This record gives sequence, structure tokens and C-alpha cells, in this order.
Amino acid sequence: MKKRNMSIGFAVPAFVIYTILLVVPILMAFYFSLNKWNGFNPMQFIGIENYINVFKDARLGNAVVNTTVISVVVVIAVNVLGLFLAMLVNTASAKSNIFRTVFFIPFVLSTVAISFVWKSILSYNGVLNGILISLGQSDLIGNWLGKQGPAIICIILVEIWRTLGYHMMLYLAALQTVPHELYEACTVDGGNRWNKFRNVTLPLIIPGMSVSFLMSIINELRMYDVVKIMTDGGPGYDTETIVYNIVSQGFSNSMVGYSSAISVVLFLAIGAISIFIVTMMNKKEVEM
Amino acid sequence: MKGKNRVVSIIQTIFLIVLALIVVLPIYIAVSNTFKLSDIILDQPLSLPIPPTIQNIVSVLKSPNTNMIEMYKNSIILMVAGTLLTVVVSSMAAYYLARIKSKLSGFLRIYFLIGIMVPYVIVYLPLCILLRNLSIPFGVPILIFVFVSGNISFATFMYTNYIHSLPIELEEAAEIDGASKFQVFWQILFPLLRPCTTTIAIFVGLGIWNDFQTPLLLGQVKTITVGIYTAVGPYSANWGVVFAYVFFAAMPVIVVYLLAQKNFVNGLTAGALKG
Amino acid sequence: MKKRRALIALALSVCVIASSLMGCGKKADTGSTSDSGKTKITFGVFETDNITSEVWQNMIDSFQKDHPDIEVEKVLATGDDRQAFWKTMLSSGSFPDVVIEAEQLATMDGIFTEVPQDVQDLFEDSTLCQYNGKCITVPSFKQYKMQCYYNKSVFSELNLQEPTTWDEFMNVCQTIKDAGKTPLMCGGTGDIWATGEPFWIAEGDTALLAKYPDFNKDLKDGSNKWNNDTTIDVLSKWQDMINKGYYYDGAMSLSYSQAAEEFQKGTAAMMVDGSWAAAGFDAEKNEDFGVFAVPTMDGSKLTVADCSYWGVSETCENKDAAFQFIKYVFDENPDVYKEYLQSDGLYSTTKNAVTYEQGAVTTKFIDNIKDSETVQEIVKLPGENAAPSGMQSFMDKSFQNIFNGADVKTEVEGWDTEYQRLLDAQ
Repeated sequence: MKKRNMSIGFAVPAFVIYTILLVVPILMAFYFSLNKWNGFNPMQFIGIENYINVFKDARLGNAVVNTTVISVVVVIAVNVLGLFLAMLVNTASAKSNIFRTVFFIPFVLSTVAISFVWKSILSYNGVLNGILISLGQSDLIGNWLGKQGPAIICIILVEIWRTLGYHMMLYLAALQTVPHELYEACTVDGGNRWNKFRNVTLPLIIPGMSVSFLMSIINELRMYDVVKIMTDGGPGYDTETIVYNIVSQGFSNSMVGYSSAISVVLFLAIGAISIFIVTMMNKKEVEM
Repeated sequence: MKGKNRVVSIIQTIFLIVLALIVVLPIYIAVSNTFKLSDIILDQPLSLPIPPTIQNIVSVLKSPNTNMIEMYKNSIILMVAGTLLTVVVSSMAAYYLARIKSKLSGFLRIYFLIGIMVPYVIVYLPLCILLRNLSIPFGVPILIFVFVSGNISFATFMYTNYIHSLPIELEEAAEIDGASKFQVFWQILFPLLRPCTTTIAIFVGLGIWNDFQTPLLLGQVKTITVGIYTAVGPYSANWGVVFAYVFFAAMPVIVVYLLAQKNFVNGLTAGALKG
Repeated sequence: MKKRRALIALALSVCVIASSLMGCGKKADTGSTSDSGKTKITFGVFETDNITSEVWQNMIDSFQKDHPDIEVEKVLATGDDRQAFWKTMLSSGSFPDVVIEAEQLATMDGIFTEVPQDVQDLFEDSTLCQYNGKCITVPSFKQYKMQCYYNKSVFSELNLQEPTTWDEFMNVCQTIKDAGKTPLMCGGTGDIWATGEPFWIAEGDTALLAKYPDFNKDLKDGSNKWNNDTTIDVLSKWQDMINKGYYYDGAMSLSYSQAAEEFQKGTAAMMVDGSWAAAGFDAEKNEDFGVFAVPTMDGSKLTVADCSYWGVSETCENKDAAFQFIKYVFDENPDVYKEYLQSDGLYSTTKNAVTYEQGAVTTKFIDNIKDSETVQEIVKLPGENAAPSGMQSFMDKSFQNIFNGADVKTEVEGWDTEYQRLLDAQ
């Protein structure tokens, strides 16, 4: 019994670092969110007023819409395409290996570097328009980053480009846990490709799928870097995301209380979505 | 039947090749244009840089606002120290979480897991204020711990699941031989965790190297990402120089990735499902 | 054993929470003596194409040479939103001891320390300002804002004269447009100010101040609003110009330096910009470009000039050294001040006026406004009636919305809401 109790010491360093630098700031954010505070002058307790304002804030509403549009499209695209790609490269050949390597490259690069590259490509006087001009297609030239619609599409494409390889890898890992015998059994039973996929692959990769979905949702809801560098939330507020909004309310406008309230709501939303996905996937797993 | 499979396989390969080209194209544009003069970049963005010029690279190195050595140094220290510390504290915590069945360990498991869902933006302002009130100056040392705190959730979760999957008999045998828990962990268990450690090290290390928001918002620590973001500003009209900066940020990662590509991929396949 | 450790950890974290919450609102101090035992001060600056790092380095080097006991470390503001940068530094406790461009930050209480009388005495009285009855910033320079630069060859090719009335200005734009060229250039997402601010300062500020000379005060005490006929009129006319295609198509995806470069390459014939652009042309002895004062819509003769201010942080440990530095730059060594002013086409604010030889474009720039009355930019007015910080970037974003077709009336209503919201919050 004594030896068993000793083990708590193992968790203490992690507990202390985690608590002080992550949990305490989160609790502080909860506390700030109930106050009116610019970070310097004395705090003023105002109860849930900040939260009421969160739901009345048109600029934030716009950021929520942008984030939702980006998230939904990217999450669906990377998961569907990711699974599809994973199935294509799920062979032990050198060819597959090269494809895996290539598809994964964007994910290992920093978003800062990537965003600058894409910005240089998509700018009005950038590479893409340069190519269009040299092809003699001047009327196809677009103001890709200077108008809301194209700018959001560009951001979505960059996000897909950036994370697709990662999700392919997640699915690949999941696919490799599927025992080969099961496919053979299915073939013996006369199953075609679709049967194999529906009855063997899909049920067995549900855990991997839930990880992949969760990761992509959390990633997109936290989106900041690409927007910050490619469009800086602009033009106007057209490509502003929730996190961008929180940062500018908190840091640029010195509304510590208000920006904390938004981030608390975001935190709770991500928590709720995560729990929802995990329970839903668990249920599916049992059903199948 | 065989012929049909062949056609399918060819279509698949073509599809993959096209997609691979799309993935690689921006990287090619960045790398090849690094070695071209800015005025020809827009006219011939896709051409090979022949003859190559190092003018862009030189102007980056000469720029008075860009201290490449300091930027690399900060990033490397953060990455190495942050990753090591994360691996050590998380694997130890996971040992406790995986091997002890008690209310406390159950609680801690959920406690650590919450961090995975945290949108990190919630933390920046309070953390700034916390450190200000504790009189801790911003800089590389505290940032190491900040990165560790942000990665503990993920790493602990991965390790806990991994340790779960390992048989306990080895540890029990060692304990019967009189080894302390500490020895058991470091000498018996930790080496067995290697695949998981590789995965975690790659993800945490890469995450720290590439992180932009944290060093930007927590005291503007000049890492490679923040440094480049800062430096590009005045040169935004000169794509050649922008590409040269990107080149400096991305090259080390691409090289390491291509060299240790098996580790990246294997590490990922070993642990991702459990992450 | 188990419980005890857990308790210790718990107690520890409770302590941290308590101390952090109780300490909120207080400021921590950071040590500031360098390793060599010298007194050290940090100096927060930003750099542009004109005010390069050499300008700052020369300033710092010559100060350190004459005051070997003090070491000055440069902190460079990054990103496009410098105010946001300073606030980040403020939140993180690493705010520099001396900061340039302090006027907006000064609206928040307790950031800057009071300026000693002997330092105040160095500056022209008209440029000094007070916040809550205290002088906490020193005026570093005066800068004339926003005239219209034009490409001389385009003007002569199309036989155009510098316009002197609003209608002539519109005619010039239309003629250039009809000739198949782009009349105007501006910046976009990379530097949010570069979209609407130049035009707004040239037309909006002047129109509002011509009609309501105390606009800032009226705004603060609630007797006037942003949302008035003048604002709407100016912005509607601006949107009209945009709709007519007077502005460069891709402007919204350009940063300021990209836009300026495109303008110099001849992509557009005109660009509204500040006096720093004149200094830039002069530094390169570039005489291909001329400049005229943007004719006001109501014909009033007003021109906008802003003072910029430096401040010494309240948390600075070596305030004496910091003020010594300020005295040095603005008084002891006129060469330093001169180089600073000349680099960006600025004007001195000290009692002992410092002048420098002006190039052709700068001379023309000043000549254009010799009959005009100078007023202060509304959002940059220092002192008691200053606009809350954050208002400027809000307006900049709003200009971009208007540029992309947003309804002017709705946008301007937003200005009042935001003004009030920021005022309440700060």
C-alpha cells in the first residue's frame, strides 16, 4: 500500500506547471469576464453584463459566422479527402510512401511561413495574377484577398492545403489497425469494395475518425495565424475570426473583461462540441 | 477484372500526382523565387532560378532588424527545452494516472484532459497579467514553461493510453526485485515508451517551433516566426525578400522532416490513434 | 502522504490565484540595471522606410557616447497596429521606459509619469498638452498630414493642372479615368490605416472642424455625434469616387509600402499621403512627382497637422536617465533632433526651433498650405478631449468596409456606438 501511494509524486510536476500556467489563467479569465477592466485601472464588478454584450455584438457575430463557415467547410473537406487519400496510399509501396511524405509537408511548416507564401501568391500584384497575365488571361485576374467572398475562400483553401496531410496520416494510422484477415473474410463472403469499406473499414476506424474530426474542429475554431497574416481580418471585418476578435478586443482595445467573456464562451463552446462528438462517436462505435 | 483494376490504379495514381503537384507548387514557388530577382518574379513566377541569385538572402542577412542567430537560438532553446520538459513531466504523470486506480487519479485524468479543449487565446491576457503581478519577466525561460503547460494535456493523455496498453508484469517483477518506483519508471518503463515519446516529441517540438501566437502575444519573444513576421513588414513590396525570410523559417523544418521522415510518419502512426 | 502532497499542490495553486487576483491593477516593476552596472533604459520605437534603424541607432549611439553611464536599448514595435503592440507590451509588463507615439496610450490613466518642469520648458507652450491636469507627454515633432501626390508625366500627358477646388479635383480624376488610367492609389489589408485615413484626414477632419471647431469636446460631452450630415456627406462622396472606379482595383490587397511602390511605378496617377512621402521623394532626389493640397469640399482653408508625443513609463525605474535622454535628443544635441526630423519631413516642437534644408517636394508641400489654418486630427487630438484608444483602428476598418460597399449611414452609426463603448471601457 505504501509503495502505491508514493506514485502521486510522479504527477506533481505536471500538475504544478499545468495548474499555474494554464488552469489559473483560465480561472482568472472567468473572474475578469465578470468585471469591467482595461487591465490597469481598478476593476469594476459588473456581473454578467459582458456576457449579455457578447450576444449583442454585431462585429463578434460576424466573426462567429466567418469562423463557422471556415470550420464547416474545412472540417468536412479534410476529413472526407483525408480518408479518401489515406485509403489510396494505404499500401506498402515506395510510391505510396513518397505521396505520404509529400502530402504531409505543408503541416510541418509554420503557419507564418505558409501564410506569407500564399499571400504572395494571392495578392493582387502577386504570383497567381502574374501567371494569369503571362498566360494572356488578364480578365481572370482577381482581387483574391481584397473582397470578402474570395478572401474567405482563399483562407479555406489554404487551411485545407495545410491540414489535409495531417488528417490523411490520422486516417492512415487508423486504417493500419484494421486486421487484414477481416478484408479477406469479407472477400470470401463475396463483398465488393463498398461492402468492405462499409462493413469492415468504417466501423473499425470510428475512433480514428472521432480524433480526426475533433482535431480539425478544434483547430479551425482556434484559427488565427493564417488570417492575421494573409488578410489581417480585413478588408474591414470581413475575414475576422473569433480568436482574432478576442485578441483585438483584449489587446488593442484594452477590454480585458469583455475579451475574457468572449473567450470563456468560446471555451465552453469548444468543450460542448468536443463532448458531443466524443459521445456521438462512442455511440456509433457501439451500434456498429 | 484485372484490366479494370489496372485502369483504376492508373486513375488513382494520376489523381495522386495532380494533388501532389498542387501541394508542392506553393513550396516550389517559394523556394525557386528566393533565388530570383524581385522584378522577374512576377513575370516568370514558375521558372527555375537560372542563374540563381543570392541577393535576397544577402539582404535578409544584412537587414539591421533581423538577427537570424538570435531568432534561431531562441527557437531552438524553446523547442528543445520545451519538448524535453514536456516529455519528462507528462510521462511521469501518465505513469501515475495509468497505473493507480483511485478517485484522485480519476479526477486528475479528467483535470489534465480539459486542457486539450482549451482555446489557448483565453490564456494570453490572464497569463500576461499573472506574470506581471508575480514580477516574472517575459522571455525565453518562462515561455518554455508556458509551452510545457500547453502541451501537458496532449502528452499526458497519449502516454496514459500507451502505458495502459503495456503489460504491468515487467514492472511488478522489477518491484519484487527491490527496485523503487522511480527506478522502475526510468529504467524499465520509459524505454518501452519510445514510440510514444517519438510521436510526442515530434508534435510538441514542431508545435513550439512553428508557434506564432504565443511568443507574439506573450512579450514578443523573437522566435523565428515572430522575427520573420516583424521583419517582413517593411519589405512587403519585395516578394523576393519575403520568400527569403520564408526560406529561413521553413528550410530547417523541411530538411529535418525529409531526413527523419520515417520517424515523423512512424511516430505518427504509432500514437495518433490513441491521441 | 498522498493527501498531503495533493494539499500542498492545491495550496500552492490557491496562493497563485489569490496573489494574481489581488495584485490585479497593481504594476510590477522589473529590474533595469544592465550587467555592466550601467543604468539601462529601454526605448520603444517603430521604423519606416524613412525613419530607418540608422536614425534611431545614431540617436542612441551619440547619446551613449555623451552619457557613458546610461545604456539605451531599442525596442522595435512590430506588426501593422503599433498601438496594439504597445498595449501587448503593457499587458505583459515589458513596456519600454521611453515610448514614442505616446499620445493615444496617454488617455489611459497611470501609464506615463509626469514630465518635470525643466523638460516641459524646452517645448513650445502650444504643443504641450495635459491629461487629467498633468503633463505626462512631451511633443516630439509636428507633422503635416495628407496632400495629394501626383505623377507629373501623367498630368502633362493629359494636360491637367493641379486642382484647386473639389469639382476640379473630380474632373482630374474623371479625365484620368477616361484616359484608361487609374486615378488614385491607396493601401489595404496589410496596413489598415492606408485605405481611408489619408482621404478622411484631408476631407473629413477638415470639413468637420470647419463646421464644428470644438468637435472633440462636443463629441465627449455628447452635444455632437459622428453621425452628422458632414460626415455622411464626406464619406458618401468618397464612396462615390470608389464606385466610379477612381481607385486602383487591387488596392485592398496591398500594404502601404506596396501601394506606395505601385504609385511610384505609375500604376495610378495620384495618391493621398502625408508629408513623409515628400521627404521620401526628396531623399531620392526624385522630381517625377508633384504634390497639391487636396481641395476641401466646402472650400475652407484648413490643413491637418499632428504633434506626436513621447512618454516616460510610470514603471520606469530610472526616470532621471529617461528624462536625461529626452533632454539630450530635444535640446543638448540639435544634430540628433535634426536628423530625426529631416528623415521623415517633420517639424520641430522645441522653443529653439530646429530646421533643416528642405528638398523640392517638401518645399512645395509646405508652400501649398501657407495660407491654411492648421488644425489637429480629430482622433489624434491629445489631452483631455482625446478620442478613446482603439477608435482610430475602428474607423480604419470602417473605411475599408465603406470602400468595399458598406452602407455609409450604418457605418457611421457604428462609430458613435464604438466611441461610447470604448470610452466606457477605458
